[in-house]
Amino acid sequence: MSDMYEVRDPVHGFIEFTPWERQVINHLAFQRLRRIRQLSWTDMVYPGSMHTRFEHSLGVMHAATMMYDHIVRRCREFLEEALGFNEHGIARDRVLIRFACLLHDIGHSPFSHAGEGLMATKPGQSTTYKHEDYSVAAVKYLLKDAIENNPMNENYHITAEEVADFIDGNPKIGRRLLWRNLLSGQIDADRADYLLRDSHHIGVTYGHYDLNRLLVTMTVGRDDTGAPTIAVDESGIHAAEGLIIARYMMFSQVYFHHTRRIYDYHIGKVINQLLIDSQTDLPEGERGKFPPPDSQENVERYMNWNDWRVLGLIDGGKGGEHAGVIAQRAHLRCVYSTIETPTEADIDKVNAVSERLGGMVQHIDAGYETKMYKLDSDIPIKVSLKNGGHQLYPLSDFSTVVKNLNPIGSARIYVKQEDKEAAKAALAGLDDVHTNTSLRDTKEQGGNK
Amino acid sequence: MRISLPWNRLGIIAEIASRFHDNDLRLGKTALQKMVYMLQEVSGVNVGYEFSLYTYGPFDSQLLQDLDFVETLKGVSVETVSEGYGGVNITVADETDDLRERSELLTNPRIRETLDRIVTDFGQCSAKELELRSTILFIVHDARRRGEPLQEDQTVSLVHEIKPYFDGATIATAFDELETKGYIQPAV
Repeated sequence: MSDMYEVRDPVHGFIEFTPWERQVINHLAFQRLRRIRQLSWTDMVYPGSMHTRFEHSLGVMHAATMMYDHIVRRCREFLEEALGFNEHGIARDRVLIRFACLLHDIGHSPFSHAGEGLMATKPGQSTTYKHEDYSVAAVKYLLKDAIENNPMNENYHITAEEVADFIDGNPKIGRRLLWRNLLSGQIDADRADYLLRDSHHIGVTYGHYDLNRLLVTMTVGRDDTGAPTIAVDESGIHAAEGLIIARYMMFSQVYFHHTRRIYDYHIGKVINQLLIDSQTDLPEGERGKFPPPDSQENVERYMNWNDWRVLGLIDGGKGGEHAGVIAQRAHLRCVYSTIETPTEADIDKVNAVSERLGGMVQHIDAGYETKMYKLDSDIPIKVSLKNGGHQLYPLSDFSTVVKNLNPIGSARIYVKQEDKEAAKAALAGLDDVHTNTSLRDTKEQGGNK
Repeated sequence: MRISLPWNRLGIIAEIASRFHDNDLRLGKTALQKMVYMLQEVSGVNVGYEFSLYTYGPFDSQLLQDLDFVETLKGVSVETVSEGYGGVNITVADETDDLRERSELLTNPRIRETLDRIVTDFGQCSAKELELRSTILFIVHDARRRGEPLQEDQTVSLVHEIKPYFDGATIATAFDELETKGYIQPAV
């Protein structure tokens, strides 16, 4: 292991990587992640939130490796006998997983999820591309040489196509779909890393949970259909519970913070304007979206966008009125918010308030429609049976706390800074009007569940 | 400026719960994932989900979040089942009909016809049978979408690799059943 490199990391201590992985890390497409902030403009609320997708990506690779190594150590017999893995396959999958985790976010747009709404529409479909689609394309088109041409690959013959297929969830990866849970699942390395990392940089403890305990209790079990899946041993119930609660708290206190949310809106508008301005070669109606990830040329054009470029253009007076809003910190102000999980009556109230405020309303954020942050909240727990077998149960079967967590998705009304007092005055006569806090409504309704 | 709840997605969950209840069938979270996947895939109508394939079949975490939402709105009741392997039964609740009526998607004849078909053809299936059939469908459709269509034997082989606890003959039988019932069009 003398030829390993290591980098100091604020969450995991040291993160090690091989010369082969270093070759990929040093690629400009990966280095671009140094110029994409993990949480966009969250620093407007939590000033410490200046970390980037670069360190998160290293952290996900590291966390996934720890998870993988613990699972293999605990379940080698099951993996070999029931699922047909062998020693070489296990070693090779470890390398593949590390590359996939390292590169899973390489296709993020500037300001991370804030740019997601500007991705192109898939041909023949009504859905749009996601950052994962750009990650897949970047791996295929830009990183083929860095991944495939290294002496260390003589032992593995790993291809960029395979790494891309793993990130994409292409069924072609076969039995390795099991390991995809480590990248995108209910206890994946992505969330395992971002909760701790975001908490660290922001300076909150909401995202803390016992990663070490979780690691030593991670295992593989069969669900009631016989499908193998990543699970947590019953002795790790409280560690799993801690992870779910940490996510809930981070969603509630950080990711869905009303000011953070409005900056996502503003920067989305800015990037849209910058794209329109830069796409003079396209017909007018087709401008304002990122190019689709369907060719090397388009991926390169997409990857030229990063936070620095956007900030430079804003500094140069580009980006329209929302750029000015950001530069002057004159963001829209939230004057009305529902409880975290709005009911139909709450939405009716939002619309009534919106009607009363009329032209003052600049934006209504329907948080429950945000697909970038999904708070699915269950983890399979592996319970040993007296007959020597096991059964998987959802964590919510054991934890009343988890069972009673509701999805987070407040709806909020925003007005211009200068209209805030007038809006408050206009709402003064309405019942149940509150700003930013949901406590009163929650109490009046006796809670959600 | 006005907003509304995502009635289309929420109403679909209520509708499936209602149909299973009317037919005295149990609807677990696994079955709900597979039924919504089949509905979207077979009808060709975008219900609002983007499924990925896992070892346990097609899955979209958005659907779990929506289920929690529907439960909060009393559009379904999610009851814990104590017998057997446990799990849950998603069934009707006070506002089920209200949610169904609010979903414009449910007035789409293709959606209604597809729901009739899949509840008839798969409502009685065990979770395991449903998982296998939805996985076959996913692999066939995904490969065609990628422009890399698979022959039946290739599909069977890939499903077996992902799910080694199903033998080749069982997978082939399920494939043929899906083809016979028109869920898989013969490869051109």
